[in-house]
Amino acid sequence: MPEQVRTVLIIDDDPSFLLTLGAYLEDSGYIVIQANDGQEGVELFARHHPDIVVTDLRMPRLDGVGVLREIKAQSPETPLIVFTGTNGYQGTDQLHQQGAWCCLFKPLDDPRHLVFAIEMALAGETADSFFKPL
Amino acid sequence: MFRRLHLFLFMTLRGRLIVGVAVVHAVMMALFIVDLTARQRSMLLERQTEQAIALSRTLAVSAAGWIASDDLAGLQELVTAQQEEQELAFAILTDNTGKVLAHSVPAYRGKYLLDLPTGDVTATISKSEGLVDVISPAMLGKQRVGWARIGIGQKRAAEKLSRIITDGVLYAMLAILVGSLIAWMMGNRITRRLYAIQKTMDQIGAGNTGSRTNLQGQDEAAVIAAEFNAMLDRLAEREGALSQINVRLEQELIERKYAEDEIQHLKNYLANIIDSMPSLLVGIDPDQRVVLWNRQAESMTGIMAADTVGRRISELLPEFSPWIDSLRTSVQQRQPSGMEKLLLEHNGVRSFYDLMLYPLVANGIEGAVIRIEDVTERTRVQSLMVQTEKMMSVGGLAAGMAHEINNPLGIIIQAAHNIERRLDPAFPPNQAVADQAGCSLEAMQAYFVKRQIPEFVASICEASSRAARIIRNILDFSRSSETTMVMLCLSEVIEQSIELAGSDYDLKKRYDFRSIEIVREYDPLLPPVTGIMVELEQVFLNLLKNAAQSMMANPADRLPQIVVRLYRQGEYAVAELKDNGPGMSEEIRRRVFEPFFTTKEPGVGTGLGLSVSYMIVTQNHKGLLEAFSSPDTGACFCVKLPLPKEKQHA
Repeated sequence: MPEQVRTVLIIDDDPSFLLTLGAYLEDSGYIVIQANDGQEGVELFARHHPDIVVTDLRMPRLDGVGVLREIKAQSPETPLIVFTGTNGYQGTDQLHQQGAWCCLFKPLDDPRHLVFAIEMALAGETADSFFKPL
Repeated sequence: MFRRLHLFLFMTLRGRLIVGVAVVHAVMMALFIVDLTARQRSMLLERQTEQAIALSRTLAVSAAGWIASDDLAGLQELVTAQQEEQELAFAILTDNTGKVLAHSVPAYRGKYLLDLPTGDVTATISKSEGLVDVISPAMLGKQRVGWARIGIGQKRAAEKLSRIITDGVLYAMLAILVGSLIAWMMGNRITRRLYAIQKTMDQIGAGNTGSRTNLQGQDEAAVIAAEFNAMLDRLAEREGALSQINVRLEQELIERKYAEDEIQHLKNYLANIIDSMPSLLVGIDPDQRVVLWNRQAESMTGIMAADTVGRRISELLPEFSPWIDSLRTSVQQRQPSGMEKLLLEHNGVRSFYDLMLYPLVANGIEGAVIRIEDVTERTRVQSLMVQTEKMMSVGGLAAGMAHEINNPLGIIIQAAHNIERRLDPAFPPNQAVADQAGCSLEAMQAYFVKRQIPEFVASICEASSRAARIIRNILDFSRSSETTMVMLCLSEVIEQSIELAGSDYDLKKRYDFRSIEIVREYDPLLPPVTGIMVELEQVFLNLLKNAAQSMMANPADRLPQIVVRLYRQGEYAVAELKDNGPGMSEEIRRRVFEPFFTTKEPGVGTGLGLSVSYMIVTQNHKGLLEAFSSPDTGACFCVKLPLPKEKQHA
């Protein structure tokens, strides 16, 4: 176990996805907070101040773009990774402009890629160096 | 000169009149002169005779006594005395027996006169112009004693007569001259008026149509002139009307000519329109005979319009004839009808035609116009559009589907990885949980391994990862919005295409692409090209699929192999895909990029794959797509893409 346990907030409207991803990230050594939609995610962020946020895009109540906006308003320093099933999403550039650390598309061949991304984001590196070795 | 005189005298009225009057005058005068001289002559003769008789009587009376007394000297004296009488030819005194007693020529005395008259009367023995011979009896009482005979010559009378004749002739000549003069004057006077009319005629003849004859009086000439004037007026009137009509006619003629020109112009224009139509236009009459054959028809059939006149349409367009016949009934009801996309194979080239039949009623004749249009190109473009649309909708569907699959697939992958990790004895938290649950991790692990659980989980991981890649490929492929040219490494594009081909469902169903040996000969120094990733992927995928399908027919001892070569050739980057299938004949090779051309069974291919590829390479990428082959050596397709200019200079 790492000395400093990091907290990850994952927001997705699919409970199974939350369950499996949550388990994977817990096994990877993180404290995981789960939210079933964007609204809940923003509320949980305000309450728990996680170190990093992983959010879906298409969700009821508040979508990923809304989540990004709200969280960046509360805490601009917190990295946020967009993890979406909308492969080939056209607005990735805009998401980057609004402060998203990177955009990953479901499904990943290997969930470890997400862990790499989280680690690099937490280490304060840029997304460019994340994509390079892949 | 003589001729002119002759003409004047006998050919003109004036001349004839003059000659006539002169001749009549001459004849009359001649008769008169003849008659006069005859009268003069007889009168002279009569006077001569009377003179001779008187003289003879006087002589007889004077001589009677002398005869009775037989005084010859006295008698001779008496006779001589008579000779004072002028013109006396002779004076003879005889006795009763006729014995010349005295004679103006004394030599004849004593002779006898034999031609004495009988009786005692004065007798005229001869009376002629030369001599009047008279004999009178010399009576003494009642007794004749002798004869006195006197002959008087006519010399003076003849002179007189000749003078009379000469005078008569002279007068006659004078009369003829005067008569002729009068005749000439009269003729002139009469004919002058006629000449005035003639002059008018001459003037009119010379073109002075306004000329008129102005004659006073009421004679025939004046009447003729008046009539003539009236006639001229009528003529002028009529001529005026005529010239007006002429002007109108001329105008009309010009207009008609203009109209004719206009019609000709229009005709040419129409003919040009008909000829410049890209469609084949043929007019037919009710007997199906050709009456119109435009240029397109000429070029399509090779039959010139001049050779089509009167020939039947079935003879000229035999391939369309059945369809034309089938459309005829509706045309007979004056309804246009047509058929679309008729497929005809001509010299091995398949073409599509639209056929339209329009009823044409001209001058009561019910014919028809046939329009045949080669719609092969249009059909091809339409099909391409339909195909593109289909692909886009399929792509869109696949994308939507993929999105829905992405989440569950993610869950499976994550779950599988979770299971894998939580079964791993090397993962520290597992031990703690196992201890809590009161079971041995080792025993559990032994069980799982025995039951192949880790292998199952690994295959779930592997399969779901593969599924994730397939979906990503499908999505990449269907993302048609990415049409901007970007720098591409051809080897990456090819690799991506090979992977796509491996996961292509259609292909897999019939053939395992992965069993094909792919030999890669890539030039590592090949510079990148500019292109549209998705489109080039589509091209290579298509070529790979075709190669794979063609190699299905390979004999067992020839393992399917595709050699992919990447190299530089001048200004082009070349991607060469060569299979070891059956290859193509020259005929097929030539037509392989033709739309709808397919060697596959019906329903297998669209016949569009290579033509779409061809368009992508040549039109979108300004490159070349070439096919090389001969039977038994396999087929080889070369995609040549132009290298960026700045790279060339570098």
